[in-house]
Formats: sequence, structure tokens, C-alpha cells
Amino acid sequence: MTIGSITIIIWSFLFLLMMTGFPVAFSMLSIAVVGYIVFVGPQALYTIFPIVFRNLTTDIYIAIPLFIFMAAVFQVSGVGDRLYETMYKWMAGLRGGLAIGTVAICTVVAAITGLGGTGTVTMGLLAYPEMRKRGYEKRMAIGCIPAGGALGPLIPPSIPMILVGNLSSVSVGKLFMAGILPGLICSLFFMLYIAIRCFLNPDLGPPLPREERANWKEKFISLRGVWAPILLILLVLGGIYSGACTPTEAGGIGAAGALICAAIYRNLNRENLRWAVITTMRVNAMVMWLVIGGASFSSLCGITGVTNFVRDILVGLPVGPMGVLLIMLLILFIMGMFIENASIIMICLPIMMPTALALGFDPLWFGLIFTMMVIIGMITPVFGYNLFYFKGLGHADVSMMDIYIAILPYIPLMLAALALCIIFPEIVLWIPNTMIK
Amino acid sequence: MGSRFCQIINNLNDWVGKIFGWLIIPLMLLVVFDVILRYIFNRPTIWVWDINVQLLGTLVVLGGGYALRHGAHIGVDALVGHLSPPKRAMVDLITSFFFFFGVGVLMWKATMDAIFSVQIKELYTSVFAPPIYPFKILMVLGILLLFLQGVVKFIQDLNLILKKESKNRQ
Repeated sequence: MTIGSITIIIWSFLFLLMMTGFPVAFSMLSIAVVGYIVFVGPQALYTIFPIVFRNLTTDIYIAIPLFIFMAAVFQVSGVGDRLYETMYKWMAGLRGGLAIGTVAICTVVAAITGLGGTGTVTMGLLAYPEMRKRGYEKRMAIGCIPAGGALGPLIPPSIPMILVGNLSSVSVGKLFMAGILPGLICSLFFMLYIAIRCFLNPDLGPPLPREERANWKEKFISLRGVWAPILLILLVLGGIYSGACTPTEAGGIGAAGALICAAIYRNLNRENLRWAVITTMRVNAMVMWLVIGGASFSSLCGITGVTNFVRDILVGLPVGPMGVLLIMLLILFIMGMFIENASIIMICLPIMMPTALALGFDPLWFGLIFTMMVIIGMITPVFGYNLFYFKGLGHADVSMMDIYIAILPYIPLMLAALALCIIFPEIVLWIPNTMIK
Repeated sequence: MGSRFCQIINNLNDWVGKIFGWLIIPLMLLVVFDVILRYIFNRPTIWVWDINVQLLGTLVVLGGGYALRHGAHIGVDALVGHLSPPKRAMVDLITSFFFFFGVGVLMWKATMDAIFSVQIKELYTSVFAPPIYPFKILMVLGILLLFLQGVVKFIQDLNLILKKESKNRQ
């Protein structure tokens, strides 16, 4: 059988199986097992278990449950509530201030946690009802929350970046640092967009009446609410940037720090801790079984020559390196509409990274561009995880269609930030290049 | 049909998830402990990471069944999300053979590896070199729990379809 037909068979079976709603992790695992038997021979199956074992005992993957745990503890710690109070006192008097402030808080939360859900859920519960109470237009109040949540995995720490880094042998620490500026640019774009729209039409986000606004004394007293997030950011990002600890160690320290913050705010009770532990168990198992399935599948693609075959086709396209890059990004964008982000990474990166290397792209830069495009998939309809998280909060006046329409403006904004990172690679590479180690 | 079996496996996986999920706490403490030893006492350990990778592996393999029990292993619902529960169950019933085959082969290979590991009293390839075979036995048990949870899903889907059919006949 030619390599071309093997490629078509393997990939069409994978997509067919996935389209039935069968879990992506097991789709990849079972296609890998069947593929090994059919294309390599049953005796080759002995390679499956060592692949699984090696992935389960990879140092850097220990960071995944630790950062998930940190995010879960953060969610119940009460740090978000204090942060929201501070923001409210400072921002509520501005046109669109609460929506801008929501993005600002999501930016801070993003620098503490690495999942899209944390910011979305925290702010969806706190900020959305308050904005509606203050007369914000519904779509203005909705859109900023899942969009802000998408900053979570873009601004370090980041679970997707741990996967991308380990799959492509790029330093996870450097990848983390590479995400800072692109994340801040996205955040800035979101805030500017809200500010301009609400400035032109104050009905979208009316400012708080003058007599209800906080005075300067109250504003400065409320700043007490920001020590905890600053401490957590310094612990985690400071530790990684200075080279004092690895991303995995930073995860452990950050989780411990989040527990201490929760204890200080008196939210570290048995119920909250139990919730954080069991959430970590579930989410970590979901991500890591994707890693297991993805590793098995990509080893099948490697051993049958599918990886090299597809890479050579992509590299050989007569559209130049930038053209190939855009084609790959387009594929990721379309997949992002239907498939969850960690799955896309496990399916695409093992083929796209060798392609990028063959085209002469910097792996760190490409890793970040890739991650950013996958993260945009978190907010693109039909299947955007952040949109479902927001819907899952159960606000009675919000339909799925409301969310789909509300999020639309934020997609081109993120794409614009991505375009900037492609045109000016320094945005991505500057901070990692100044790292001490 | 098989409701007693389903109940036992569901409870078992819930119990395993709730108990072993707490391993995240020692994992976190060991990581912090190692950093403190290195910086404050200038005495890095050689054993912490050998324990940590086993804690990670334990969390993952024992969490697999728990996650399946609670529908946490995500799939692509764009096409099948609007199907009625019995139709969806029919689709899941067909694809479940892939699950049993993939996870079954993995369990078989893991068992062979664990047996071999016990026979030679295998040590982990590191400086500290702790025995690794207890962990490999644990992996087999974890994959078994995942497999059994898949059987539960199969039985429940089957029941859903049979119930629909018997209702149609009435």
C-alpha cells in the first residue's frame, strides 16, 4: 500500500470516529492500536505501553495537575471576589468601565491560572449579574467574559503551552514568557474595543450615577484586595522568569500559595478543598488521557511515515513559507470551531511542528503562534469551550445564540493580535530572549 | 439488566476518584519541599522526582475511570449533539467497540509489562532507582477500572435502546 493511501485511511478513520462524539482521547488511542496491527503488524504493539508509560512519567507533565489544582483553589479562594470589589470601586464610574474592568481582572487571573475556564467562571458569576443590574446591554455584558477567559491559557501559566512545549521540545518556561506580550496585546485590544463602543454609545455600558461612586479614600482602601494576586504572580512567573524554578516547581509553589491565600480569606474549608481536589482529578485525567491517546497516535503516524509524508506535501506547496503558515493556521481555525483545544494540539502539532521547522521557522515563535490560534478556538462558535462554560453558569436570560453573537467581535480582535505577532516576531521573542536562563 | 454491576463499578470509581484525588496534596508538598531543600538548605534530593512521577501516573490512570463515569473525556458533539438519547446511545454502542479494543490492548500490554516487571523486581531508571513494579501493577488496575466503566456505559446504552424498543412494541 502506498504511503498516500495509508495517510488518507488513518486520518479519515480518525475524523470519522471523532465525529460520532466518541471521546477524542480514545479515538486516537484505538486508531493507533488498530493502525499498528494493520499497517505495521501485531508484533509492533509492544511499543504502545512504553509510550504510555513514558508520557505518564514525564517531569514537565507534573505541572499539569499542579496548575489545574492551583486554578481550582483560586476559584474558591475568594481572591477573585476581592479583586472584583477593587475593580468595581475604580472603574464603575466610566462608560463601559465594568466590562473593561472585567477584562482587566481576567488578565490578572490569566497570569495566575492556565485554563480558560477559571476566568470565565469566576467573572461569569460575579461580573455578569452586576453589569446587567447596572443597565449594561446584554451582549456587551456577555462578550467580555469568555473573551477575557481566553486570556487564561495565553498569558502564562498555561496548560496548552505545557503540551505544546513538551511535544515540540521547546522550553516550556520560554514559551510561557513568549505568551506575555501577545496576551497583553489581546487584553488591550479587548479593552479598547469596549471603551470605544461604550464611549460612542453610553447605553451599551452606562457609568454608575455620580452619587453611587466610591470616593478616593474608599478607592485606596479597596487596593488591599490586590496583594494576594500580586503575590501569586510574583511567585509563579517571577520564579520561572528568574530561572529560580522550573515551570513544574512553579506549579507546586503556586498551588501552595493559592491554598495559603484561600486560608487567609477563610475560604479553605473542607467542602471547598474537596471540590478543588476532585475537580483536579477529573480535569487532569481528561487532559492526560488526551496526551496518552495523542502520543500513541503520533507514534503510529511517525512509524508509518505519515508524518513525513504530510510534512513534505505541506512544505512542497507552491505558496511560500508564509502561505503554508497561513494554511496551517486556517486548518487550526476551522478545527477550533468544532474540537476542544487540547485535542487539536495533540492531533496537529506532531505534524505541524516538523513542517514549521522544515520551513525554517523559529520553533519558539511557531509554538506560540500555534498556541494562540488554538486558544482562539476556545471562543469560536459552534464549539468554543469558554462559551459552554459561560452557558453552564445557568444565567436565565442568556441563550447560546446570545453568546455566539456576543463573542463575534472578539474573534477578529484576537486574530489581529495574532497577525501582529506574525508580522513582528519580536513581540513574541523579546521577553524570552531577556530571560536569565 | 446488570444494574447491580453498574452500581458497584460506579461506586468503585467514585470512591477511587475521591480517595486518590487527594494525592495532589502530597505531590504539591513534595515539589515545594524539594525547592525549599535546594535553596534554603542547599541539599537537593534525588528521590523526590521519582516519587512525583509515580504520583502523576497514579492520578492519571486512577482518574481515567472516574472521568469516564462523569463524562469528562470530551468528544466532538457538533454532529451528534442533537440526537435523541436512544439514537445517541446507538451511536455510542457502535463506537464502544473501538474503546474496548483500544483500552483492552493497552490493558493486555500493561499486564504483560507488569508481570515481567514483578518477575525481575524492576527498578526505576534513575539515580535513586526505587522499585517500579508496584506502580506498574497499579497502572493495570487503573486501566481495568477504566475498562469496567466502559462496560457500564455499554450496558446503560443497551438498556436505553431496549427500553425504547419495548415501549414501541406496547
